[in-house]
Amino acid sequence: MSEEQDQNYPEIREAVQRLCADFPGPYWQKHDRDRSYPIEFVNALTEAGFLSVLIPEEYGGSGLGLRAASAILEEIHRAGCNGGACHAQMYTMGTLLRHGSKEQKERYLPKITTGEIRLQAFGVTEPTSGTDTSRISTFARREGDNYIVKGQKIWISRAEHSDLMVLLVRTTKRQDVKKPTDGMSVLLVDMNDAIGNGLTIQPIRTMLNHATTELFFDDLKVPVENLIGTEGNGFRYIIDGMNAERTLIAAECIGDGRFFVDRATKYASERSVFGQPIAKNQGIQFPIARAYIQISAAAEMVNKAARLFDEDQKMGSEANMAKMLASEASWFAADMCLQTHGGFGFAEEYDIERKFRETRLYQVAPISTNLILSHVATHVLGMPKSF
Amino acid sequence: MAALNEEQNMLKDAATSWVRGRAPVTELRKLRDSGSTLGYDPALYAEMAEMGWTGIIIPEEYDGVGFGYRGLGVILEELGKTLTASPLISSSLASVCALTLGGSSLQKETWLPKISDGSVIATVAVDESHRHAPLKTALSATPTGNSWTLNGIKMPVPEGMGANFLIVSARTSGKPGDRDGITLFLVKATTDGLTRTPMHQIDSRYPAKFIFDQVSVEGDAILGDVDEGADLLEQILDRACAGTAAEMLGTASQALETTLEYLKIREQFGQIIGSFQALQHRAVAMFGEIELTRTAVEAALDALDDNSDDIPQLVSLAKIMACETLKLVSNEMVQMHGGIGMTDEHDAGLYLKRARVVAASYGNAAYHRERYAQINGF
Repeated sequence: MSEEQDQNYPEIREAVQRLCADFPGPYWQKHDRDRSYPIEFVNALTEAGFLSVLIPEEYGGSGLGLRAASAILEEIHRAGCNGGACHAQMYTMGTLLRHGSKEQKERYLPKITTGEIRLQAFGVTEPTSGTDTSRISTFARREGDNYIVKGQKIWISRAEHSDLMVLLVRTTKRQDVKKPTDGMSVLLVDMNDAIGNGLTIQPIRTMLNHATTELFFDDLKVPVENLIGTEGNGFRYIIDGMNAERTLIAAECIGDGRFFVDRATKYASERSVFGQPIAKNQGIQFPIARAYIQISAAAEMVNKAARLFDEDQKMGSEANMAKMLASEASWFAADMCLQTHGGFGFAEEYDIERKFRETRLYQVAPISTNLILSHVATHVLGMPKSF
Repeated sequence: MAALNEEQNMLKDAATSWVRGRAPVTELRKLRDSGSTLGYDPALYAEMAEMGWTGIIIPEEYDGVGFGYRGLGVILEELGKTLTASPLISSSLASVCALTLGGSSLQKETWLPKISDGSVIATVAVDESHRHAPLKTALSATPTGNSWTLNGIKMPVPEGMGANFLIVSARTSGKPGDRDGITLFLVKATTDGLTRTPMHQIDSRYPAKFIFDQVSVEGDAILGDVDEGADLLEQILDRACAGTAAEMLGTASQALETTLEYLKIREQFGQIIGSFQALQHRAVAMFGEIELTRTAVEAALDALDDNSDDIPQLVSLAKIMACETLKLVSNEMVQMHGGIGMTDEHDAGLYLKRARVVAASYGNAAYHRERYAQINGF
């Protein structure tokens, strides 16, 4: 297909494709059925070094940047695999990298590079705050050399499969600070120490195999040395991590969209009804073409967001727009692909229904479409905030 | 389509053949090119009156025929098919309802027979800007002895250029936006201090802009109760809106009909373009939307005839559906006709322009969505 001509990182893409070929549909179907963690796939990606491309070379990573990371995740998803089990290992360390102390970085980053330490849990959302992050109430009170954490988090993905978690807490109550986003701090939580000592993890079953959880903190001790940056400035530290996350999720949507277009094109060209391949029908071929066009357009925006990030430029709006366009394009493609396959699309062995469920997530997570529209309305177009 | 009774069937047959014979789209072109700023053809309206359409919902005691809202809806739908311009909605629906629901015996006796025989045209003047917001009425009415003095602006007033009298919403207390403090007045168009100018619209209608400068009316000009006109006003607007939705339904079905005819004769690549699935499926989608809209419009008109208590919801629903459907079908009409659809020679552009104007008439889809949500406590 023509998009291959201008795709970046062809060698990386090819290597990812080779790796993914070892994890075909039945592998994912089994984990999906059991709602189990695809550890073999995660290990293979780690060993191949694909999860450490954002880590600078001085800490053992390849320091390639967000465009390379996007290419990796896109290919994973295009192959029918799913990066959701480990994509956060790529970017969660960004908070540590950009805002952690030299000592913290030296202690953790090399081991994150090798996968010895998994840092892929990002504890922000709470049941009562939703996207309104400044309203979180999980509180860390200072007691000697420790913080004592009390509260609750929800939709914390991969908490059971992480050694470290980046946790956003309040260290000053909302009513006691000037700006609502002040008074929050970021702690690095050692999950192996924490579980059973004040942290309880409750898995949440969802419509897809995504290891998300609810966390309960009951006087969990976190050493003060695990504070990232300075106390009270935590909100700022997590924001740029979110932009990388949104861009990478968008890249996954592009991969999903290409998966659906590939599969639909192939199926429609081979499947014969009324004596001709169904792809000969405009009612079939036009929606596939439309999906391809929408994915191609969204891919340009994802590319732009990743490039700006790599160039250290402001890219919050681009990351948001890329995520919205890509998640809507992949959802259109998913719906189209299911429809194109008719009854077969519902059969597990075709992987269409699984990918359909998986890609639906991205209009909601990690930020919902409405919040993106609101961001663009207020921050790009200068209209008054609507809430 | 739900079944029509004998009277309604009769009206439908009469309207279908009259519209086809006397008011094809070429009549709208004639009106547009005539240079008249009246916004409709009085001769055609006189014929409508002769057939009794101007008195469809007027009770027999006031010289009407009392065939109900569904009966009037049948006629409006037919008129919508050829984009026929007439004061039927503003005069024989909205103003008649104002009088039957809120008028005194004297007011009814004075005006209803004249509206019924077509000798008088009335209209309801509510809007004061391009935004439909009845409660935002700011035009003031202040009492002086037994009379009232009106000051302010009403625009755009549908068929205002031909109207003999207006039913005006005015503020007698409170501030714009308040529900209390709205009063309806009957004002003759020739009253001193009242001036009107035509507003040129893309659908070849000419609503009027009325300026009220110290317009004095007697106390008997009040329709309903002082300060409590909001409820009455809403009932009037609901009825006007249901009729407008019926007209839009007709416009949408004819737009599809005309498009289908084209799909069946236009050839490209050696075949009729109607054989392409991409166009067939879109035509089917439009048909589905029109049928859904028909159901909503009929439900609203039936609710009015039955005087049921869910009239406001059903009317807003019908207007929303009519707006969305007509927007879709008028857009597709141009798209499916391709280049010829862009020309003035073809009717597609006339449907598109009328669709945009009528969508805003008595509240657009956004207005009615908001209203529907509020009524239902969303």
